[in-house]
Amino acid sequence: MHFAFDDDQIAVRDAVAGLLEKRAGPAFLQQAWSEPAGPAVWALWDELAGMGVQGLVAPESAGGSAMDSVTLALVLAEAGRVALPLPLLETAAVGVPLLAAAGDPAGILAALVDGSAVLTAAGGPAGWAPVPGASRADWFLLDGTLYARDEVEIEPVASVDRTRDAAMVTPRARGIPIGDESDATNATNATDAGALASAAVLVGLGRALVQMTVDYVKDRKQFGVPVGSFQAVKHHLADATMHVEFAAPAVWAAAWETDRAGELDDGHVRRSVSLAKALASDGAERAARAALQCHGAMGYTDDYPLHMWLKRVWCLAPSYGSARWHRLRVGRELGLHR
Amino acid sequence: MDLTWPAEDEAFRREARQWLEANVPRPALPSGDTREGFALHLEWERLLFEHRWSVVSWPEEFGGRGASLWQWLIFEEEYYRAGAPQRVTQNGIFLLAPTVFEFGTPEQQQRILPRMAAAEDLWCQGWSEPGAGSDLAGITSRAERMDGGWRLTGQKIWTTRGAFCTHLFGLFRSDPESSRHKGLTYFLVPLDSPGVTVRGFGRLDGDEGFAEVFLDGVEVGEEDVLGGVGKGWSVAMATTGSERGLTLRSPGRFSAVVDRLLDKARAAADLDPVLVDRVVQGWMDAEAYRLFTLQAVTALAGGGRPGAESSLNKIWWSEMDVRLHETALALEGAGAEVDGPWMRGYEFSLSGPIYAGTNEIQRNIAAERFLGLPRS
Repeated sequence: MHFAFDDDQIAVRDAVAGLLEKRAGPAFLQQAWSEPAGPAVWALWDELAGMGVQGLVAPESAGGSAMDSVTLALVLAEAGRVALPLPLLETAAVGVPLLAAAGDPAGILAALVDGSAVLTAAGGPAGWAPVPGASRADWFLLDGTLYARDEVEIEPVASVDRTRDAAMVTPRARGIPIGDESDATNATNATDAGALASAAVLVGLGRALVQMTVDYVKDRKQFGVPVGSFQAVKHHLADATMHVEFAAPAVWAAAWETDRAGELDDGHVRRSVSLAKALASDGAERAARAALQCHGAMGYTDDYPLHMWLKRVWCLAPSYGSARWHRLRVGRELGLHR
Repeated sequence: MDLTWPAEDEAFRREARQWLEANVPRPALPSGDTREGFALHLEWERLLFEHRWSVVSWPEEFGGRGASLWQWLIFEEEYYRAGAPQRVTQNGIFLLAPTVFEFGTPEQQQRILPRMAAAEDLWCQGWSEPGAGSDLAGITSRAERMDGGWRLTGQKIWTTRGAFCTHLFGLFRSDPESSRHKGLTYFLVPLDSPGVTVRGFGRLDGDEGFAEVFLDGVEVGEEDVLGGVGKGWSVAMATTGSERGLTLRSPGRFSAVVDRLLDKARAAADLDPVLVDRVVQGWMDAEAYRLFTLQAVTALAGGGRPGAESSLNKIWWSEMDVRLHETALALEGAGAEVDGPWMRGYEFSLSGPIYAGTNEIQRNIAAERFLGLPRS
């Protein structure tokens, strides 16, 4: 038993975090807010690919690094920390692993890995759940089936998070199943991959929200003292950080189990993924509420960057199954209802 | 990262499980927080000791098995899974013993630990006073120097099972000029000493689980000082890390409650979906605590020390425990009124957010030391 990250995992996480810190600060996010699909934003996609991020878990035969899902989860948490406005979780953590497991049925893995192709996915039923990165994506993963851009109808939609560049996407062709299982099972596998990946991003978002708020309340003075010295503020933030930090190990554990799905009972792994997503969704939502409240009126303006982290949480918490949806699924798994 | 147990730990688990299945008293013992129940629990503690299960993680010379922290976690899981009796010795073995291991002289360790492991000496905690609860540094009970030792005078309260214990570990003000955290000394006090009066009183559940301890010029020796004169605060804080952290409330305790809650929910006909959601949330909370603990124990096994995250830990398990019992009572509906195991468990769970430092204090600590917010 050893629940800690090894040196390789930490080195990859820190390298990506370093790049994102340098390239994807609040000004970058603000740029994505004004011009979501702009070239400045997408230039970072190529830099990420240059670092091997999209292909972290892809096989070496496709140009990937064949690393484990824990490393990917750590990297996605870093992407969450900066509220990265690119469909990284969709390409790197939903498309790549599922297509690799299915034997690359569309022959696009190498292109996803080198950054020349972009895959996005719906975090819920096609036509109902907005799809991020839609104006640039080449491939769309909808209900467990893969479609090329000319096989779908794309209807841009105003996401509450404008950096998402979202659209409603509906299939207009048969598409390519991303596995050998039934359509329903393929769709469930895609949901699980997305649930785990978005849980990791939500942990990073939650941590960033707590940290931004800690920095703010240490600085902001009222009654002659920093507002962070008031117990009411402390208790909001203690609760927020507790819920985020208790979600994190569940995310790493689910990632670790995902790589051992062959040795473990199928239901067991799905249950772990649901645990991770439910805790991470709830944790990030709590952190978002506390962050807004503790920022006072300063957080309630789109002149100040906090809102972009809040809105990303609002998009991802219900994606790939809300906390409630995952609890229902675990309830079935535990034999509490059908 | 490796989330599997090695073969030797699995073997340890099997051995613990087999022994517990063969030896756990059936039917369950009455509450250990009554005089009669306490006596029965002592018999159980002595059986545990006889088979070297009472303090598995201690070195063998003191009555343990030299088991790793991991095996201790496994033992706890098996212990609560088997529905074994509450540990009436816990305040000694989980709160005082870590302090004796860290600060005690070899003579103190030899004198105190084996008898504690064997449940011959039974220790209770003498920290809180009528005027010093959350504000523990407000202690006024005093220790005055006398020839060859100290004379203790004052009042301690909320002393768990104090009426049934033989010894008290407590904080006393040894420097009359001092205030707050300075000038305190950690003393070990035999409760049969002249000048000690112990009065038991009822908890919320009616059991005589509490006591107040009056000390009127009680004489103790230099050998009864733990960790040095005037060092009481820092010595005591080493114990609070254990109390808030994992040693007092291991994940196995709550996983066992969740298992019983799941059985209860599965047996219910036409389960209200809102209650299903609460039961699943309970399972998730306990799983999160288990995984958080595995991460924390990995850090401790690597030589780390418990930090401010132990405050988050304490908030998590104590509030989870209340919710688990509330959910079980909600499943019982109007039957919840019956003073049965779930109601008694609920009453006990309600003490969790209060003892070992209230959760309000824990939130302050987490905000100040974990997040770095300014002190008020």
